[in-house]
Amino acid sequence: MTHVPAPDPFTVFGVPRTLDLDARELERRYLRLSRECHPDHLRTQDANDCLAVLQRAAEVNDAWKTLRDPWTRAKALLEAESPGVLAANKKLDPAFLADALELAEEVAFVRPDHVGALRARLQQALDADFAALRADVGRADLPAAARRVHGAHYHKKALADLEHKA
Amino acid sequence: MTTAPQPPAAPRLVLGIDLGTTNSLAAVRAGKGARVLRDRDGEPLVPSVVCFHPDGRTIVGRDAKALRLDFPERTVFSIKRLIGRSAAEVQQEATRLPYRVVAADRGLPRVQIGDQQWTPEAISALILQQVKATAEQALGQPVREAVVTVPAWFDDAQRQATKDAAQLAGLECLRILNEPTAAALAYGIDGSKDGTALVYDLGGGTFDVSILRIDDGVFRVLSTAGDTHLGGDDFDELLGQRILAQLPPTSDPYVLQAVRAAAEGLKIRLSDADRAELELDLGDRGAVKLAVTRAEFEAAIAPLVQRTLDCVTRAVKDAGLQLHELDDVVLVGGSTRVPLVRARLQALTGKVPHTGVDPDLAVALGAAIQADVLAGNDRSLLLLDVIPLSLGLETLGGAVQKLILRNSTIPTSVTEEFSTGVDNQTAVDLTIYQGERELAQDCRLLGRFQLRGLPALPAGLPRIAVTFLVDADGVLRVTAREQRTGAQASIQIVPTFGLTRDEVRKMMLDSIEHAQHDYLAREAIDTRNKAEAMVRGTQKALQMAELPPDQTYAVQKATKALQKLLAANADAAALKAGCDELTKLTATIADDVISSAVTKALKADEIR
Amino acid sequence: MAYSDKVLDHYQNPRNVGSLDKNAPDVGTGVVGAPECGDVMKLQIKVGDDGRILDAKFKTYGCGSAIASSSLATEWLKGTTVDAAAQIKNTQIVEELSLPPVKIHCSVLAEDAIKAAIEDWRKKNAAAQGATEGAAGAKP
Repeated sequence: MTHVPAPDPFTVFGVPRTLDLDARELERRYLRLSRECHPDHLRTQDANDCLAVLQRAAEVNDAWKTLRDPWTRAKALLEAESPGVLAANKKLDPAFLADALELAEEVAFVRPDHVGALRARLQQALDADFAALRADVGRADLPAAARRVHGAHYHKKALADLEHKA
Repeated sequence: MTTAPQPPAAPRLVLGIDLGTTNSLAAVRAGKGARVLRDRDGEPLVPSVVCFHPDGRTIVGRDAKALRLDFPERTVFSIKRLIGRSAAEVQQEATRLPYRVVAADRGLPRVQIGDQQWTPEAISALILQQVKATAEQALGQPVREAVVTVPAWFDDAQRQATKDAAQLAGLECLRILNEPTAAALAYGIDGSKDGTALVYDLGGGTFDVSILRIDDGVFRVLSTAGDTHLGGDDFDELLGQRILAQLPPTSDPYVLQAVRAAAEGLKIRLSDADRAELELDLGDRGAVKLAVTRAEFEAAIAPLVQRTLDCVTRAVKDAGLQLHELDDVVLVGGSTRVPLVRARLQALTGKVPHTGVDPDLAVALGAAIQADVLAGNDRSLLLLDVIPLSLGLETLGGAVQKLILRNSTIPTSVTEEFSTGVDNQTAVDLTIYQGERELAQDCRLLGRFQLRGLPALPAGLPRIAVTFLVDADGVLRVTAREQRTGAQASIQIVPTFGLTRDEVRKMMLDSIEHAQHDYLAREAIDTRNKAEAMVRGTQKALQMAELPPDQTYAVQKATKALQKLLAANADAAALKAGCDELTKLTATIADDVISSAVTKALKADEIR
Repeated sequence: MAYSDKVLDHYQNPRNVGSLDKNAPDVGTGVVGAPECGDVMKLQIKVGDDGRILDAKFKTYGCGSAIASSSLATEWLKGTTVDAAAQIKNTQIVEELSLPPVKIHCSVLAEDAIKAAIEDWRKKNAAAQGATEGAAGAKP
């Protein structure tokens, strides 16, 4: 079974294909699109349109889910600009992976009074990841951007594990 | 060409129905809010109890509840705990019920009453029929459409089964609505109160919690969590165990039922008093004298309450929020009257819970508001709900690959492409599960389906794109498309724990036989309304239109005849004949003066 | 049953967890990752003069199948030769552990880790050999 990518969320929302989108503006657009497309407001339509109406509403909801998180938005952006780039750039630098493993270990054995400091460090690492991603995209170096997205996933996972422990 | 005068189209009336474990009720939109529909005695709640009386009568609601002790094996309650589930799943539950639950075809549970077996859907339909009848009487007009609520935690099979029950009761179910979402609608109805709300819904048999975001009339569910097997009944059960401990061991349905009722009474008294006493005399079956303090009761239920709070914490986290970011905490469900529940929830959230709307009525009131939106009468509100449980496909080896994650806003969809494993394979089997666990054996089997009629090609060449779409009811729809030929098919999922479409159809036919009286009564009301409108309209039209005298006379005569029938309370058939006669006369009139005049007159009537 | 007893056994009692000195000349280190699920696997081998693997250690951050795959890999590595180790295929791990299809990528990760560790050791060794040869060559 192979995943068939959803329609490009930037197109569904009618917003430019960029990494940085204003969060409030995006949310307002989502609420407006929902009012326009939700099947609850389109019940009088012909029954044949029913599935199409549902499909359109689903696209809006799914696009919102992708766009509202900067990292999933970044993935969608890379896929839209260069299909397959994420899959082709999964190999990460061993030194980076070794660091990721150490971070994971730190999370696993963190002392309760160190949780706050570790959380701040991971958050910083993620912020740095995103800044670097922005630079990669700015240089149109999409393979580097793809690796950056993959790398950030380790930091996100470590952060999630830390929250789970706390 | 002329058309017969038609009565004006009234605003579509859609009921909001709370089909509860313990009680059920209906409400309709009224002005900016909604109102519950009460029976002749002013009582809105229909106990969700059905008694199959030995004399052959089927009694539903309050009267059935009163017969619990007389016919414990023939009086069915808490049917909501069985609907849409398998006999194996409800086995343990069934041992605590005084009526018999047996496993029938495909491992589905049936309630055994004498030599008859009833599906949970059919029993739920009887309750819905009673609710519908109460509503129609309160409204003075028939109703055919409804929004029916379910716990947010209900899975696909339970939702589908509830829809089937509505259909069996003669109601088209426009939406399966999550109870906490409905309750939130009842609280935030003016739409001006933007913010984030937590809805804590502890009913008789189920617990739900939802986090909602309200922005300018858009109600967005951010997350939902719950426990389908936790509710006030479990509090009763704990008190019941204390009572039973004082009796000789028994499985006598009469005793069990009496103890259950006594325990419920104790619980209710302990909500107001610090101490409650019980004297239960069961004649030769024994007697109990017992005193319970609130502290003892609270110590007993504390672990259950803690389980609900764990769900609250999880829901808040799933919504991506912190507890202090909640603006409002809303209580729903009769069991939130227990003081410990309120105290613990307040301690956790730091918010004084809202109690502005009667927790027993909030769900139905909210459902009525959503019903009005779906009827097309109100476009200022919009509800965006989520799917409570993840959906996945079984892969080889018994693992589940998630397709749609829980708390995804619905409608939502995902498309996957499948191919064949061997040459000339023309079918692919897919098995769908719902749940959060990694292995199929730990999730709920929703159904299997087969992609059939694939072109006979070498392995791996056919490309079938399968779209899994969860609609606004939270029910899965599957469509498939062969990418090369473009052949498209909608797939019927064989439900594992519900009724097949054929079964629903057969039961509909059966119920039509039984419900003929019901149907005739409804038809009579319809026809009467139509006849009255025709008389009014035609009279006005005659005043406005300029017709040749003989035609005027003929129309007048037919109108008077119809009026007479109405005054004599004639039956539907006679009224229908009168209407037809009048329609024929007005239709034969050559120009369309009269019909246009009639239409105009009817419009005037409507405005007035 | 989706998970074999062997997977559960390796998951609950992983063998050879730990680290070797990555700077030691006789140690090869491989670190590989599967970014989509966030798994990381570090596998190290200590090779004797005769080309036999004297010790193997791993650290894996990931699901049970990933841990079991790397644990099994270290068991197989110990005592075998580097050349034989280079022949280990992920399918052998799948077979031994009866991994379900969704978990095959865990075995691929383990194979990649073995290869990376051997490559690292060979690099160090070739450098060392090259240095010796060079020194020898300088001798007239």
